[in-house]
Amino acid sequence: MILSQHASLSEKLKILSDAAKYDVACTSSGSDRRGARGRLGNCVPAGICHSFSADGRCISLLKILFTNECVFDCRYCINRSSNDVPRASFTPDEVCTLTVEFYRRNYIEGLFLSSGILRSPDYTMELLAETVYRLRTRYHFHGYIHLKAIPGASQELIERAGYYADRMSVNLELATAEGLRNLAPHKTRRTILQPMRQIQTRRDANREELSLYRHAPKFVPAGQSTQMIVGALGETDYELLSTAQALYHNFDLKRVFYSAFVNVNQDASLPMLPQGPPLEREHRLYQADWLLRFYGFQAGELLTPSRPNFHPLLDPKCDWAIRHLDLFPVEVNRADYHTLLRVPGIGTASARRITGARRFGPLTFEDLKKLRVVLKRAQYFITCGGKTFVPVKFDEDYILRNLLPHPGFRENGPEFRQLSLFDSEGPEGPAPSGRKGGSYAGKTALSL
Amino acid sequence: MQEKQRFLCENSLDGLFTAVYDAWDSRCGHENVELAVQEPDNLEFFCREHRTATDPEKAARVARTLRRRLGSRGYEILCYAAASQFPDKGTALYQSIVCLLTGRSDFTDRRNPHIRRLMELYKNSFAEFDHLRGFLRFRELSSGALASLIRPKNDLLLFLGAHFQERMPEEAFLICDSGRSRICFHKPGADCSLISGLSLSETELSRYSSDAETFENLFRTFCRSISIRERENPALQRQMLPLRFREFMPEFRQTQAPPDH
Repeated sequence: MILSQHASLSEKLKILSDAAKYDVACTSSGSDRRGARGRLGNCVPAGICHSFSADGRCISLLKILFTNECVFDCRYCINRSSNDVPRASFTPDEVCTLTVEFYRRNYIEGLFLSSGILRSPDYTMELLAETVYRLRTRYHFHGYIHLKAIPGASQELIERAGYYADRMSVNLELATAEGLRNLAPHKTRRTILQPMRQIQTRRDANREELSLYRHAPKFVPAGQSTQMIVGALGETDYELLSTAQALYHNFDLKRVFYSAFVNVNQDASLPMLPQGPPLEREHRLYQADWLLRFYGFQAGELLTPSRPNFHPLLDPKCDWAIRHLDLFPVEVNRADYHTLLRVPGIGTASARRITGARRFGPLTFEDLKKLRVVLKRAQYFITCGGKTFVPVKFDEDYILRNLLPHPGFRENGPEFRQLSLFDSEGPEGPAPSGRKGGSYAGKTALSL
Repeated sequence: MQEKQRFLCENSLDGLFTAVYDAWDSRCGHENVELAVQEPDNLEFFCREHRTATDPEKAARVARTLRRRLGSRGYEILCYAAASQFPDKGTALYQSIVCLLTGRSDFTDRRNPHIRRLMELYKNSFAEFDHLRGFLRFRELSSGALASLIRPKNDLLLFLGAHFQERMPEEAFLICDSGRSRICFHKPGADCSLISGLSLSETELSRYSSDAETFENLFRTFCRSISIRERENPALQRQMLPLRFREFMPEFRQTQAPPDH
């Protein structure tokens, strides 16, 4: 172990931000706090992105570990005790100074403070609690703080820290208890779920306090989140999504983050990924996560044990709609908000716009375009005044072929394919169909 | 055929609201009114031009009515639309106000072309404001005050001033819109004030800056180390943070590769 005990602030920042980068949570959303005289900062409910790193991820918070001198030996973690990496620790005042000075210059929206386990979970949690306490009381920082609850730390320490933080999180890391046992021998499901339950119960109690006393101190006002690693074990998308749904329902979580696995330790028990981290899979899980939270879907509707993974080329909503053609087409001028939300190409904003605009008269497809409905996808699933946008063959294979991205894909209408005498497929390909404006080009021309 | 009535006004919120007052007061038919913030390229037939001089009192009366009738959210939408870079904003603003005040439409009526355009202008201005409140960077001057340079497409200085005033009430800061040569000042305990015809350059700012080599370097270190090499994706980074915002951002100042020799 290389200990950088006398490292400069810059060296410590380099080591400890590098060590924190695999934690994907970086949002500064969920808290609405106005600025106040004598204090520095406020919170905007939607959060603010301050920069984007070279990997395209948002930099919103000063994401650092308090220390990477960790006594735990989790196989997937770069900071595990058996790794020979440079180690460093901040002092509470160093963290406070960095946060305040970065915040004044508008580099960040607040602090994301996590930590390796230094000596014991209680000792580490006490250091974290002390840091956020100083930041709020001595440095008068009024901005966003996301704090990790250390698994296995005492309830008193977690509760104390929760009154100074906006959001707290405990990382579940692996969707199955068996995976956790194999890869993180120092952690158990119980030590992870216990602080989660504690934060949930305390937040519920705090809501009642706030309804009685408006100025009562707020406990974790932006809620809690967690993170799961994608692709470290043989877990399926169905398992991951079902776990996420259970966390939303049972623990009242605000967010579940998914982190595509990167084999940083080249550990033999973990998969080697020569093609890079499973980013496509992570992307599909985020899409499905949005469907759970904002579109009223259930995990069981999107995936089943017999069909446990997402379609690699179709987004989960399109995939679901194609398998449920009996529910379509939907008449845009009559369908309620929740039905509109289930149409591919219509999101929460366009569904709201549609329900707002149709109060003033019936909508046409031209209107829908101006409302920014993605007709490229929606055209197969909707009617306006009883008519479809283009003549559509209401067939699963036909719609699937036209929705899949491929070289023949066109922006403004269904696919046309020129028949060829030398095509091995023959004339069985996609049925010819009209384009916008009624032209039926390219139906049966032979290319010789 | 009715003659078109074009009201030429100053490109500011007060200028536009004064023109709204004058146009409404002219009683020449709402549908014939056009508000322009810049001289037209050419003369038009059947078009009468009126030049309106900005009158803060008229503007205040319009603002009061709009706030009362449309609420603070509606008024905010109109203000962002008025800050837009697009020259057709005057007409969209006037015609939308007519539709909204006469009860023919509300802000959700996207079938109405004027309301739709108004909401597009609002969205465009607000999106840039949303970007800039994250991407704007302050430097600490030797006096302890903070200074920042921006070059937005829309006229967002007042909105940004109000945002940072609420966020840092105890800080003295200035934000300079170098494209429009305007500066927004804030002193602790006071409201922001705007000065036109003044500008700052990057070199001037560097001369008075006391911490160019400390916290800027620390932030650069942070931005470099927080990125995951296996996930690097410059196209995504460019999509989320377009190049035009990077001009005054310290984390991108040293990332330019040295020229090949």
